[in-house]
Parts: sequence; C-alpha cells; structure tokens
Amino acid sequence: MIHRSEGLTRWLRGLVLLSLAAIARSAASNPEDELKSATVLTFVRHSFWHDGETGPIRIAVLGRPAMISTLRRTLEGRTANNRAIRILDVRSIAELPSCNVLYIASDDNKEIRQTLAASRASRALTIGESNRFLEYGGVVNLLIVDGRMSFEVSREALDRAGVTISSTLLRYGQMVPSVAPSVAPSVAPRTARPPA
Amino acid sequence: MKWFCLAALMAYTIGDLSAQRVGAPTDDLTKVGVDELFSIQVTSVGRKAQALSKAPAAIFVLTGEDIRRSGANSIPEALRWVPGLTVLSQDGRSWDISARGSTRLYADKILVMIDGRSLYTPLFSGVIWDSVDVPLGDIEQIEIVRGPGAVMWGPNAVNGVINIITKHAQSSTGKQVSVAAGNAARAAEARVGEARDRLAYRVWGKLNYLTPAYGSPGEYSFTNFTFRDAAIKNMDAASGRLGFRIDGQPNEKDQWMMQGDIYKMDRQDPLAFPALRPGVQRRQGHTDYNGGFIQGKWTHTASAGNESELRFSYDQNNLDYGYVVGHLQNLTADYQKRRQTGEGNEIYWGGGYQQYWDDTASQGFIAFDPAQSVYRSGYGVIRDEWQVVPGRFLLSAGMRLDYNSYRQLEYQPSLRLLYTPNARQSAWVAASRAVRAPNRLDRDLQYDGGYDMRAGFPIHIRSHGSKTQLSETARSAEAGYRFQSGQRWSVDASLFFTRLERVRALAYSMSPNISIVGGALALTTSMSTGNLGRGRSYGGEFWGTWQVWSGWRLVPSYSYIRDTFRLPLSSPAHMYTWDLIPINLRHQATLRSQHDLGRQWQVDLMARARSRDLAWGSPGTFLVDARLGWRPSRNMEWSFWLNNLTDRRVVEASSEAATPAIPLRRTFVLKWTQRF
Repeated sequence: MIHRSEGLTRWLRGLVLLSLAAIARSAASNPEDELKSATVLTFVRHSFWHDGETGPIRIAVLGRPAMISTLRRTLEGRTANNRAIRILDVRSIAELPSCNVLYIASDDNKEIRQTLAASRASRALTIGESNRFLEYGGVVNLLIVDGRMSFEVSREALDRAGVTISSTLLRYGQMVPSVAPSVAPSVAPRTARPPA
Repeated sequence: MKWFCLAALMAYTIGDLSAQRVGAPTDDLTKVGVDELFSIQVTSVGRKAQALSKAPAAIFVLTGEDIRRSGANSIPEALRWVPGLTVLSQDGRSWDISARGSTRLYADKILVMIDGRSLYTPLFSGVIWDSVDVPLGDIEQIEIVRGPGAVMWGPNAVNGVINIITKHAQSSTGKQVSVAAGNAARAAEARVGEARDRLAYRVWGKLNYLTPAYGSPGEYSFTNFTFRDAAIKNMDAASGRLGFRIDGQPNEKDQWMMQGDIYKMDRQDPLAFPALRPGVQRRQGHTDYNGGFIQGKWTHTASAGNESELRFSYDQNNLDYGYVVGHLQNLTADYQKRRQTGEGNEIYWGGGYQQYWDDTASQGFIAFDPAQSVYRSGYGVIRDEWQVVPGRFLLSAGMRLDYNSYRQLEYQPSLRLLYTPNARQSAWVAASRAVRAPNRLDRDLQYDGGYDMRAGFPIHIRSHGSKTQLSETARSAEAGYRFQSGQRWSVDASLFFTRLERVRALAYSMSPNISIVGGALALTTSMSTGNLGRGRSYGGEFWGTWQVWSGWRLVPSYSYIRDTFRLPLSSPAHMYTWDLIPINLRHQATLRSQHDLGRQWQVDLMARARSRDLAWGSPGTFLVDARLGWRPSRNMEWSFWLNNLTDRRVVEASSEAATPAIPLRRTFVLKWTQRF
C-alpha cells in the first residue's frame, strides 16, 4: 500500500511538473515558414554581392505577418560570411529601404509586380513564394515540390541583380534561362499547398 | 505495482518513433546542411517539418527518385534496395519480405500500409504482395521503420513497418503515360491529374502481365521432402487496376482526401499437394484476386501545434486460391489528435475501431472452421514527445491499448530517447513491446496434410488451429547512431535485440488414432497450434551514403541477423507445411551506385549479396543489376534495366504453399515514360 502511494505521488508530481513546463511555453510558428526561413539563410550564406560592402546584410520583408515574424525570430542577429543579418520591415512599397535581400511573402500578383518594379534600382536578391514570381522579374522563387523545399532561379534576373549565387546551392534548384510569359505555365511550380 | 507505475509513466510521457512525427527541433533548421535542408519532408502526415534523420528509430526512406532509378516494376522490387530489409522472390510474383528475421512468405511480423491503410490481412496475418500495387510514378516515398512501431502504427508492427505514401494530387497533375516491356514482364500505366484552386485530383490505371516461368525446374517444399518438377511452363499473372485520389482544401485550416481503387488479378498456378510419400497430387490451378478499397481522411489544423485527423477506410478482397475461397471485408475508422502543449512538448492521442469479417469456402485440403467470422477490435493510444533539453534531448514515450473480439487486452508501450549533440550527429535508444494479434489461421484452420510413410506405416497427418491461441509478443531494445559529414557522406548504424514469446508452433497430440485405409492399417495424428515457441533475434544494420563527386553517389549497406527459434519437443523438427520455420540469412549486403552523366544520362549499378540460408540450405549468392536511363527532355524518359546480369540461377526463397519456387534468371525491361 505504501509502495503504491509513493509511486502515485511520484507519478502525479511528474505530471504537474510536465504540465507547468508545457504551459510556460508559447506555440511555435508554421513549420513551412521555418523551412523557408532556413532556406533564405542558406541563400544569404551562398550569395556574393559585388558592391564591396562589409556592413550588415539587410533583409527587407513584406507580406504575410507570420512569415515576417518567423524571419525576424530565426535570422535576426545571425551572421553570414562574417556579416551580421538585419531584418527590415517594409512599411509601404513607396519607401522600399535599401537592402541586399528582398523577401516578398505574398501571392498577390499586383503587389508582387509593383514591389519588384520598385526594387529594380536597388539590385537586391529578390526571393518570393508565388507561381508567377519569376515571370514578374523576381530572382528566386521558393516552392514545395513533392513535399520538399525547392526553388527556381531566373538566370536573367540574377544577372540583372549583380549577385552571384554559389553553384553548390544552385544545383539543388532549377535554373530558368528565360521567363517570357508565354513559357511561364510550363515552368510554373506545382506547390504542394493550394494557393490561399 | 512498480511495473504498473512504470507503465503509467510511459503512458503519459509517451512517444514513439514515428517516422513522421518525431522530428528535429525546428529551430535547428538554420543549422542543417544544404543537402538535408532540401530533403526535409514538409507534407508528411503530421505536416510537421522534420528531418527523418532525426527520428529516434531505425528509419530509411526510399524516395520516388530512388524507386524510379531502381528499375522496379512493383513495390517489392523497389524494396530490395532498402538496407536491413530482406526481400526474396519466390516465383517472380510472390515475395518473402521482412526485417530483422522471421522471413517467410506472408511474413506475419511486419506491417505494410499505403497512406495509413493497413494491407495486413487478419485472415492469415500477412501481406498478399502479388495483389499489392500502386502506380510507382505516383509514390511520394516509402518509409521503412525497422523494429517495433506499435505505438505509432498498431499491432503486428513487430519487426518493422513499411509505409507507402502516395503523392498529394496537387503534385501529380498533368498526363503521364509509361509503358514497359521485357522478357518477364509487360506493364503500362497512365494517369491524368488536374489542380484547381482548392481541389486537385488524379485518376490512374495500371496493367501488368508477368511471365516468370521459363521452363526451369520448380521446387515444392513439403514437411520432410522436396518435390521437383522438371519444367515449369505457366505461371503467368495478369492484373488490372483503376484508382483515383482527390485532395481538397476548403479553407486554410482544413484539408481532406479521398482515394480508392478497384483491381482484378488472375494467376496461373502449377499446384502440387502432398500425397502418400513420395507422391504428390498435381493439377494446374489458378488464383483469382479481386476487390477494391475506398479511404477518406480529413485533417483540421486549428493552429500549427494543434491538429486533428479523422480517417476511415473500407476494403473488400475476394481471394480464390485453388484450394480455398475467401470473401474478406474490412472497415476501419481512426481519430488522432496532435497538440503542442508548449514549445518543447507535444501530446498525441487517438483511438480507433476495426471490423473485419469474412466468408470462406473450402475446395480441399484447407478449411476454416467456422467458415464465417467477424473480428472487431478497438484501441486507444497516447504518446508524448518532450524536449527534455531543447535541441539536445528528446524523450518520446507512448502506450497503446487494444481490445479485440478474442477478449484479449493488449498493451504495447514504447520509450525512446534521442540525443542530438549537434546538427551532424544523433544517437538514440529505445525499448518497446509489440504484439502480433492472432488470426484466422491460428485459431480456425483445418489442414489435411495427406499421408506420409514413416517406418513403413502410412501416417495421416491433420493439423488444426486452436481457439486458445494468444498473441505472439516481442520485447525489443534498440540503439542507433547517425552522422552526417557535410554533404559528402553520412552513416547510419543500429543495433537491436528482440525476445519473442508465445510464438505459434504446432505440436503433436499425444494420442494417435488407428484406422484402416485401403485395407491397411493407418495412424492418424493430429497437430494443433499453441503459443509454444520462443525465439530471439539480435543483430545490427549499417548503411551509408557517399557523394563521391557531384554526379556520383554510392549507398552501401550491410545487415547481420541472428534469428533463433525454440520449439517444444512435441513439435515436428520442421513445422508443418503451413507453418514452416523462417528463412535464416545472417549476412546481407547491398551496394547502389547512382551515376549522372551530364543532365541526360544516368547509369545505375546495384549489387546485393547474402549468405547461405541456414534454415533451408539455399546457397549464398551475389546478384548484380544495371540500369541505363536517358532523359532527352524534361517530359520524356527512356530506361533499360538488366536484372541479374550474370544470370545466376538461384532459388531465393523456398516454396510455402502448393505453388513452386522457381530460380531467378536474367531479365530485362525497357521502359518509356512520357509526360504531356
């Protein structure tokens, strides 16, 4: 009998401790965003900007708030090639900050088109997550193929941006030589997630 | 009492080694290598991003690409390249597939599932591999877990789980046709798929025609003699299958899926049944299978850490062997819930119900008594994954309770601990208990083995199942270690020890009957099943990958299994025809070489070797396969495979039913795949 109550007490104590530990923590973010965020970091680490800057690498983000907060939480303060990473919010397309990477977490075609047009001058590495991202002049489009993270890169836009991406990384994705709109449907990704 | 507390402790801290739900701490994602980053699964059942390489279990994933490059025309052929799995062809149509020992035709300790639906038949515990098929091009991946997986997958996952996952309809859009032809097989498959905003579907069809017999000798293994037929001419098997899958996402939080298929298969069987020794009774028979299934699944994601899933399935299979007919139906419903109760803790719980009913009719030699039966079982499961030290130690503990119509309450606990000192390494240990539930064969079979001459006396042997048969149980301890060195190479090693108890064995009854047959005295002995056997198996598996250079990859593997069974003295030296001792292969090794020659050409070489079968004496062997693939454009592919390059004529697995085992031969297949 004594034996039983001891065991039970221990059991209950464990249960209480566990629930406390559990309650004390907040929920994590969407795993797909975490994966995209890690992919952005990989891109930053494998890219070279030819502007000779040595200050922090600035990543400007706009679009889905969840993605913005995931990027901020996972990348802010990390380093890539001995440069610190800073996440910048984009308040409006009109005041696009000067940046090295521009992440457009949106599938609103109009917004993508306008943002990409506005960023032409800044020569940033643009990364997006929409079917027509390359067609509108984006450099890298993240997509999920067969349940795995993948990406496509527009050769044309990459040359225009003046950024070099290491071939170690590029071989995991698909290089799209030219993305005239007529060709776009055949290179359009099949995302595992239906568009929202 | 102590034991109870331990079980209670397990029950609430549970977890399991699920391939899909035990993952890397997500904040580790920023530390993973490029290679791993792009191989992480995001669409697995739990939709939880995780690297399988971080699961606390012996897992191997065969990707869709691996399957395409393996030259396989059927699922068993693809599984031949899975480290630690024993895959032996009996006659080019039937397969012995198992992990960690207990390898036989219809191996009863390995669970096989397609998209969460079990293919394991409660009629005799096993998978009828020759009736299992899906279009190989629509397979997303096959996850193979070696070792017990009961908490995650249910009873019968004693030695392992083979989990076949087909593509989401969103990732199989467009039209695709493939046609294959060779000297032992002809196949064609076609698929049409389309994706809209919130709905995607695909419809597919597949035809297969196998001609494995080639005038070679066939071997029939009986209790204590082998009958050889000089030339087996007709073992043709033809099958046709039609299926669909629809995936929908009505809103951000809900997803549903419906799938189903219907199939028909007909195979020719040169049968032999034991008669008065050394005689056999011959006849050309044929086996018919037909049936289909429908499955639905609905997933609701309230938030990233709060997900529920409801699943149901119904399947119907009609089997017509030459000697017994069965009409089998199976209905299952499951509910599972995953809830993140904190950043470092997740609880899963669920329950389900299964109803299986059948109607059999005997056409000689084998009968079930009673001919009809209904089997019901229900379960509850709970498991917990707890990041004891976030990013370092993950504790996973679980308990599953099953109650079935045989009035048995089964408990299946599991406890696993994963240690990840850094992103490159992980080590795990696990302890679990799993059961193999009794089946109709164990309980209700009536088998007439015919007459055997012993010391000049004709002895009539009959055997039958026993209503007191209980589940076979296994307790396992496992450990594993993985190391990934950048993108160049990785290794994965595991060790296991399993103790099997209450293993089914036949035993002679003590009182033979004396009767007169054809004017001569004859003895009739009967044997019945019982949980009389014991066994143990231990060993280890190793596999690695080595990216020699960017277009060349090597995947070596080796496994060692020591599998011993102890049978009671009253058992025959070899269990009787329908209950043979398992194949016993100690050493098995494979090597795959995948070579890309530019973007268009691929050369794959595969070799496998194994030691002599200690149970039945089949010789050790070394086999080599080769494949040449040409992809002139994104949408077209040609490939040519040569299996068994050196034309080794070797019997891989001894026969177990009334059909013969035939030796392998050199086969080739030319395949064309076109996407539109």
